[in-house]
Amino acid sequence: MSVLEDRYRAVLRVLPASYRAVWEEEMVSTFLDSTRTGDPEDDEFLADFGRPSMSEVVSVVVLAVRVRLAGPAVAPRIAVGGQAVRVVAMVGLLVNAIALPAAVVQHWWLSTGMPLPAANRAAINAHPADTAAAIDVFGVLWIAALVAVLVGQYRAGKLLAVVALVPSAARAIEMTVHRSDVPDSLVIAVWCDLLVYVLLVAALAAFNERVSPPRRRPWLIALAVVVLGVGPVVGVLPILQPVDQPGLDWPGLVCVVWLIAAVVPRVTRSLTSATAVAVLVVPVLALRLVWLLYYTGLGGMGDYPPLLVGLVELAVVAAASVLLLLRTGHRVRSEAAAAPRPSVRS
Amino acid sequence: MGTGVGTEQAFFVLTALADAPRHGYGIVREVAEASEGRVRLKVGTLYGVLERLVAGGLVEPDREEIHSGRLRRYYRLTESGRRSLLADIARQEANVRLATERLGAWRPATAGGAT
Repeated sequence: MSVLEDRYRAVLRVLPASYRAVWEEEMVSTFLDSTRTGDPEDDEFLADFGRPSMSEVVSVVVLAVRVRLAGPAVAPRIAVGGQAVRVVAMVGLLVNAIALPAAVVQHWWLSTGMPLPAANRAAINAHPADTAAAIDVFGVLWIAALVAVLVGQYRAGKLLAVVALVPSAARAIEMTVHRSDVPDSLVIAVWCDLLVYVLLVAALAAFNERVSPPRRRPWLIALAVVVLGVGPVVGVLPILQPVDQPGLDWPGLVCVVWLIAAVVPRVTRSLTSATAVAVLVVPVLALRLVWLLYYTGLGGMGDYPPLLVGLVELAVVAAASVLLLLRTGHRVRSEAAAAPRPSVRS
Repeated sequence: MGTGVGTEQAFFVLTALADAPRHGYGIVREVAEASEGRVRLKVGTLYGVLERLVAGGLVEPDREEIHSGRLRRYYRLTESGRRSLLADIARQEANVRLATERLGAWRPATAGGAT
């Protein structure tokens, strides 16, 4: 084996083993053929000292990402991973779809003079109205993105989701620019918050021309429940809880919803959804953790109620995630062992 | 450029297989020649496209040969691939006709034509 071949095979190791079992020999053959110059001396020099070009390496890395997210001729373990990432992306859109109904109900509640804890009035007034309005408008985009993916318009869905991130990104930048007005821990929390949503949007990359759209009915029902039920409740809950003594903040609510999903057998019955729930623990824990860090950064609030509640949420979710990961990992390995080997003819 | 068969690369791969079965490097060379050097497929890109076309039933393995001790797998166009390529050609021809007609009606702005 020449040094060049050895180096190219090393690059191919970024591909899943099941994919390499089908395609590696052919890819090596094609690559080595493409490096032939026609001059025996040059070819010998290349074989001994050559390296795959950067563009060749990039093409293999891009292929590896695509295969892991959506390749049809890969091991079931990887196929389940791709399906789970798509579910995670849809859940990300669904969670963000809460923004619109929550904001609408909040505005209605405040504008009609509904009951409000006295301590909350000042805090709510501190938010600039134009930012809230922008989030309202952009909230529609999350719903539109979800519908676009459901009808197979993946490119439109991705574009809408990226645009929908703009207000959150603008808010993070604005806070960073005016950081003298806010605690550093809040700036960090807002950026981490944004990063979580960016990663959820990035998961939409798992939707490409190789995969069919998700089943519409269950996701449309979920969207209706979110828009008509969960969203309004999420909108009203924070303004009804005194800002100085909240019981359940947004990351806490996300923890509770994740726990329910993790323990309800119907949700985790399929391997794909069990894997998706297991993957979702990462953003759930990240959100919980960064906002806890923010609370700890508030001077003189060591006995701040959400801190204790948040720590309990963090511990319970972490413990449940270990159990879920162990169980899901075992199921994935069992199914992978029972599945037939992929081939180029499959 | 997106096409009815997927990407421009997929269009050229199908075109390369239209007249005869070819192996991986044969496709790379044919695509580079057919596109006058504009489309140069990297190996990772080629196999991403090939895998998708095989999975979609547009291309299928033809035969395998060992050349200088290395595997060469040949691919051929399927009937479904031929129909997809024809449909894509028709679509691109319609696009070209439309653009040509519009350009025919074009006048410089100073001549009072459409802008």
